[in-house]
Amino acid sequence: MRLGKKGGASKEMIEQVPYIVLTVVVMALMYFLLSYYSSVTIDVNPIQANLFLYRALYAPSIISYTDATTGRVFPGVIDAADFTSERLDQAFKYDYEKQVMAKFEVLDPVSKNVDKTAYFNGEWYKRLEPLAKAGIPGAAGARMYEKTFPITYRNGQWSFQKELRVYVIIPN
Amino acid sequence: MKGKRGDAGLSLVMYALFEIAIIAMFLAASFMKVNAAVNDQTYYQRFVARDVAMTVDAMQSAEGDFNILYSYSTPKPSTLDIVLRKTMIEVYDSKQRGNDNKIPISFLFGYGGNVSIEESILEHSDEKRYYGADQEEFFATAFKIRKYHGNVSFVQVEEGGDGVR
Repeated sequence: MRLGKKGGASKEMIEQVPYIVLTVVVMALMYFLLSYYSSVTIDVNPIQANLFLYRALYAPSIISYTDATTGRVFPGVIDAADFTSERLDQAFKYDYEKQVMAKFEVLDPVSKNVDKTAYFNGEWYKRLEPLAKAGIPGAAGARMYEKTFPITYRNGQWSFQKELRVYVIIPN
Repeated sequence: MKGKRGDAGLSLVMYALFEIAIIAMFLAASFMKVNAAVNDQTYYQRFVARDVAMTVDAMQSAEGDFNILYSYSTPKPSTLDIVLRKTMIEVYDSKQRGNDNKIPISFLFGYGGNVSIEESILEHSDEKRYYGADQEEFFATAFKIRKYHGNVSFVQVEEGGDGVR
């Protein structure tokens, strides 16, 4: 069947559509690459992780033993009764729930068996831990920082030499 | 009356116009993106928001009172309005003052515990012009971040005080 004049013009216009679509795709890809590499990112995640740890260990009435009379904090002296997720979550918060999350483990220094675990923002920690471990880059990923400290762990009237291992996750 | 060549020419012109429009849109978007990325103002806003928020976070971590003199200098007027909120630091471009839809660059710090935050605003009009040893001018702002009896706030530095101005 032969196309008329109008049909011929439409056909030629339709033939251009793939080229236009291809141009749009190429431009969009170039814009994406430009955006990805030109963003001014000030990476403060490692400092943020350290600040979080510093606060959890040194601030009064969180996990380190605090003398009720003098208010003095004994960093590195951790009472089993104070080492709970509830206490960590109540100690301080961030306005955005995906800002910082952490897992605290009390370990035996020799066998490395975990005696007790507590979470800060545990729900999001468990969600983002696989992403952080996989090292997925970009906005959907997260980074994990690990630190271990020697501690004195008090359980009732007994004190034990233990290690505190902390995993802090900061989303990208 | 147009023939086949006329129809082909029209579709070619339409195609060229589409291409030009798409390329123009791409260039405009790219220039805006690059301009925002290399703009000093955006960088200063991001830097100051993070730096001050983390300073406030660190102050809340330890016991006792603090009085930190925080200052920064820039080669051009930076026009930053720094706002201490209950949960974050917001940094505005003061040129947007009076604009209800102004968007800050913000950074969160941890809040709660035994420390309270007193909301404070530091406006860029506090910025002063200085001249370095090589007579190059620069602009500097200084203020104090104070933690006193478990209360964190911004405090203006007074003229002639602390040897800053």
